[in-house]
Amino acid sequence: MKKNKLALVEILRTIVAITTSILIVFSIILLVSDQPLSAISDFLFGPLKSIRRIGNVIEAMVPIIFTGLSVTMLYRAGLFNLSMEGAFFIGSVAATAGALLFDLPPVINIIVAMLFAALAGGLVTSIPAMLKVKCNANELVTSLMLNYVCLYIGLFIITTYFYDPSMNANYSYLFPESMLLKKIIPGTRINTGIIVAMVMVILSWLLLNKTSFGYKVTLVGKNKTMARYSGLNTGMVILGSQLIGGMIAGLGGAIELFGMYKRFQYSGLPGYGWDGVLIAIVARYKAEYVPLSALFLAYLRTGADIMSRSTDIPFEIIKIIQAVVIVLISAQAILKGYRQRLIIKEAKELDATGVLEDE
Amino acid sequence: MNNVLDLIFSTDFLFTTIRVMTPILFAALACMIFTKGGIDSIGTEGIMLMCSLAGVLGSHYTQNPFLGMLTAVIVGSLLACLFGYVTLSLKSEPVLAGIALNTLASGLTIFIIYYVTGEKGSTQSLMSPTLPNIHIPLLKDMPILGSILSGHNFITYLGLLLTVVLALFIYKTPTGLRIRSVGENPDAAKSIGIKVYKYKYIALIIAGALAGLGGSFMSMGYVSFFSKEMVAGRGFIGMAAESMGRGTPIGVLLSSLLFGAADSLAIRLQMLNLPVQLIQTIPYVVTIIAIAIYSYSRTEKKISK
Repeated sequence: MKKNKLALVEILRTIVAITTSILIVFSIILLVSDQPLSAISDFLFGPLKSIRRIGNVIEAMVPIIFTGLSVTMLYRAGLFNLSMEGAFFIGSVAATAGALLFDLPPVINIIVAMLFAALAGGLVTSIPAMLKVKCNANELVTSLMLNYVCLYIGLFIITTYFYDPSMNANYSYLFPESMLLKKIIPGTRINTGIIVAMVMVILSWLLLNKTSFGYKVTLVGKNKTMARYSGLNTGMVILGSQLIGGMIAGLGGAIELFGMYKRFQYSGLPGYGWDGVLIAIVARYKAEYVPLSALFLAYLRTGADIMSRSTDIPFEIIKIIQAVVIVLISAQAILKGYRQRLIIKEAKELDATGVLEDE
Repeated sequence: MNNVLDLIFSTDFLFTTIRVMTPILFAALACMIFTKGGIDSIGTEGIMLMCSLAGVLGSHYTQNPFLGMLTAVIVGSLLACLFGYVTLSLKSEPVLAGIALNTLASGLTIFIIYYVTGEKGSTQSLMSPTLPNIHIPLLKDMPILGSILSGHNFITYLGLLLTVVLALFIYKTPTGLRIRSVGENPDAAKSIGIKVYKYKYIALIIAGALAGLGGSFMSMGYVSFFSKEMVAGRGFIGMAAESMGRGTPIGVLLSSLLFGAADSLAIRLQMLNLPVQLIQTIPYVVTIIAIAIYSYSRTEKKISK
C-alpha cells in the first residue's frame, strides 16, 4: 500500500517533468515561429498520421532501448560509467568487421557479427570499470575520455580495412544482403531488431530481478560498504555488471547497423548512449519500463523531425526537452512536501489501526 | 627519425602547445573552482559551448571583442548559477544535471545559430571581431623564447595571469578559504556560521566565468567563428586535468600543459602522414593513463598511511 503511493509520487514527478518540458518548448515555439500552431500540431500528432511515421517511431525506439538497458545495468552498480556511447559505436564497428571479414552461412554469420559487437562493447565499458576497481580512478572522467578513443579507433578501423573507395565519404563496403535484418511490417522499416530489443528487455529484467547476480549488483550500487562487509566480492560484481552493460550497448550498435543501414556510415558518435541516460532515468533504472521510456523519446524525436521539415523550428529543440526532463525527474525537491505528507499520513493510519505494534 | 624530432622540438611546436592549452587551462581552472566548492564539474563542457556562442554573438552585435568576451563571462556565470539552483535547491543528481546542461547546450546553440544565421553549422557568415594577439615588448625580440611566448592571444595571457590570481584567491583570502571549507565539509562550515549557499554561489559564479572565458577563446581566438560542438570534449579534458593536477593551481597548469602538448603533438604528427585517427586518440589515451596512475598512487598512499 505505502509502496504503491510512493510509486505514485514518482509517476507524478515524471508527469510534472514531461509536461513542464513540453510547455517550455511550446512557449519557445510560440515565441519564435511564424506558424506556431501547425508546428505544435505536427510535433504532437505528426507521428500518428501515417503507418510510415508510426513505423519511424518504432524504428527510433530500437537503439535507445539497448542504450537505455545498458545505462540501467551500468548505473545499477552505482557507477557513473558513461562509456556506453563508445560501446555502442565500437559495437557497430565490430559488427561491420564481423559482417565483412567472414563468409559464413547467413544466419551463423549474423550471429557471429553480433557476438563480435557484444564482446567489443563489453570490452569498452570494462575499461573504466577495471580502472575504478584496480586504481580507484574516477570512472566518469575515464569513460568520457574513452568515448573519444573509441570514436577515433573505430574510424581508423573502418577507413583502413573496410573503406569502400567508390564512396566519397568514409563508408564501409556494402554488407551482404543476408546480413540485413528482415523487415516485418510492410510500408515501414520496422525489422526484427525490435524483437531482439524486447527479448533483451526481458533478459535484463530477469537478470536484475530474478538472479542472485542482479541482487548483488543492486546491493553494491546501493551500499558498497555494506556489500563488502557482507562478504561480496564487490570488484567482481562491478566488473560483471559493467561488462554486461557494455555488451548490451555493443549489441545495440550491431542491431541498429544491420536494421537501418546497408553499410557502416557513422562519421561521429551517434549519441544514442547519451539518450540512454535519459531513457534509464525516465524508466527509473528499471528494465521493464525502458521500452515505455524509449517510446516517449522516439515519439518526441519523430514529432520534432516532422515539425522541422514542414516548419521553421529546427529539430534540435528536442534536446531542450531532454535536458529539462533529466533535471526535473532527478529533482528530489519536487513534490517532496507531498511525498512527506503521504508518508506521515500512512504512518498515522498504521498507528491508528495498530498495525505497527503487530509488526 | 631526425625529421620527426625536428618537427616535434621546434619553437612552433611549443607555441602551438601553449595555444591549444588555453581552453583546457580555463576548463581545468573552472573545474578546480567547482571542485573546491564541492560542486560537480561535468557541466563545464556545456557552459563552455554556450559561451563560445555567446562570445561571438556579443562581439558581433557590439563589434567589440572585449564586450563579446564579457558577454561570455556573464552567460557562463548565469549558467553555472542555474546549475547551482537545480542541484542545490531542486536537489537534482549533480552528474545528471551536468549531463542535462551539456545536452541543453548542444541543442540550444544550434537552435540559436539557426535563427541568427539561417544555418545550422556555424556562424561564419557573421562578422564578429576576434580578440587580439599580443606581442610582448622586449620578450618578442628575444631569440627562441620570443617566438614561443610572445604573440599569443589576449585570453592566453589572461589565463596564465588568472592561474596566479586564483592561487592567491583560494589559499590567501578569507573568501577562498570559506569556499574550500564549504566544499570539503558543508556541515562543519555551517556549524561555525559560514553561509554555505552564499559561498557555493560565489564558487559557481567564478567557475562559470572561467568556463566562459575558455569558451570565448574557442570562437574568438582559436578560430574566428562559432561552429557546432566546437568545444569537442575540452570541458571533459578540463575535468581530467583538474583531477590529475590534484586541484592545485600549479598542478592544473602543468597538466593542462601536458594535454596541450599531447594535442599539439597530434597536430604535428598528422603532417607526417601517420594515420590521423590513431594520432587523434593520443590526448585522450594520455589522460586515461595519467588518471589511472595518479589515482593508483593516491590509493597506495592512503593504504600505507
